[in-house]
Amino acid sequence: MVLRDLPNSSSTRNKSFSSEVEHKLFVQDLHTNYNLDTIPIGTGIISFLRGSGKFTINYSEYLVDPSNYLVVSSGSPISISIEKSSTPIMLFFAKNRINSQGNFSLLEQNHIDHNDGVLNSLSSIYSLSTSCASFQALKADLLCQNLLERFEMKLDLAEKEAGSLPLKKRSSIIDVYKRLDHAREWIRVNYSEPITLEFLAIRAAMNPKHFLRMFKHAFSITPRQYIIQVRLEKARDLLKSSENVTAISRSVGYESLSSFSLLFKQRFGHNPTDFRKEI
Amino acid sequence: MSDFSKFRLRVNINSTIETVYKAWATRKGLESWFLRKALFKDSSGKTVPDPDFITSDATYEWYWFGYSDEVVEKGTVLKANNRNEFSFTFSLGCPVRISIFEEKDEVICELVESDLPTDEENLVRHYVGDSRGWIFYLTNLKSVLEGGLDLRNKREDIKDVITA
Repeated sequence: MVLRDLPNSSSTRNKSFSSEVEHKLFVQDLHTNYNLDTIPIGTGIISFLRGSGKFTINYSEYLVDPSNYLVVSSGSPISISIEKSSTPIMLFFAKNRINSQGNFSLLEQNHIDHNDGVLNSLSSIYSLSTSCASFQALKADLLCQNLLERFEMKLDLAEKEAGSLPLKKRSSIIDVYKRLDHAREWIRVNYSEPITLEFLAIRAAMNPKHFLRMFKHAFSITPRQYIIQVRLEKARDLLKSSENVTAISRSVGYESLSSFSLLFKQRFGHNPTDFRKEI
Repeated sequence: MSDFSKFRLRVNINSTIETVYKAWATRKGLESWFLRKALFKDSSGKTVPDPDFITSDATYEWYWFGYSDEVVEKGTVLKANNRNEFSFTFSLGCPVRISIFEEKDEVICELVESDLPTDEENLVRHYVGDSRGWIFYLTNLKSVLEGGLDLRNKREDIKDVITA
């Protein structure tokens, strides 16, 4: 893994973002604005160590900053506009190490779930690339490979979920799946907030009935059931700490302790207090 | 003209050939100076139990101290003669050959990593990166076998050091 500066922005047909055999990592402190017109790029992940940038893929605009990351799929035409004083970090996977032909279309959007470990892995890859540790280049490469394998697993699952949608055109399947997945990710990040079906439908740019139907088709669960599932799983993790049960109930989005306890028991077979004793 | 397609490193160790071979060709041996965790499977896919010697065609998964299980090197044992030669694939498949022999009343452990790509980018990654890594670990092999002092950094919060 060799750390690279971004390709020269004066070249309009620059293809050096992608690579055949080596994973490529681009990180640069930008002292001036950086713009690239529509260019094809490889399959990879884009985020920021500081600042932000705007990326346009197939007329969709994504604002990327250190709190999120953008997955890009091989061959997608992308325009890049990054403000000065930003430090983008872009990892592109080696084409010959991708099993799925580099087509990550189903995942190609901004991802906000910072608990999935991707931003941590990117940060570790960057640290290793500038480190004096033994076998640092090899270890950075192994981390990239691990990240790629995680994305390929995500992609496999996404293909299965998208295949459950009652739609025929591939472009429609990709479009609807990405919107549903975005809403699902939003739930994972904001589970403690009051969340309504109408609000999620707006985030997915669908009408509520259609959103509910599509969500259930893709994920075999309703949005409400998914919210409960995320909250209870989070509560189960928190019960391993010493925090009191009422506080945990509130922190995962339940005002009523009795409702929380009932749902928890239905899912895990014990009420929260008994569950904690069992740990 | 220099040949960057391979490198050779030698370390003298005040030990026996058997002990040095065991340090390379057993799980426990490798974990004493090189790896946090070494997993081997024989050619039929069965996990090689301790304290058996690793055999040719075994596959391995290697994990280092200071790094999570996400950093895992997978490869194959190319040769293990149960005496003084052990070789394996490493770093994207480059063969590494270990030869252990006596020289002037000491044991020499010689490591040769070959078939390295020599284009400018890969030269840094393989020739420089791998040889630098092996220099530390061969030094640690000597240290562990001669004096029992393990020089590896085992803390995950300390990264940017040659001992990790």
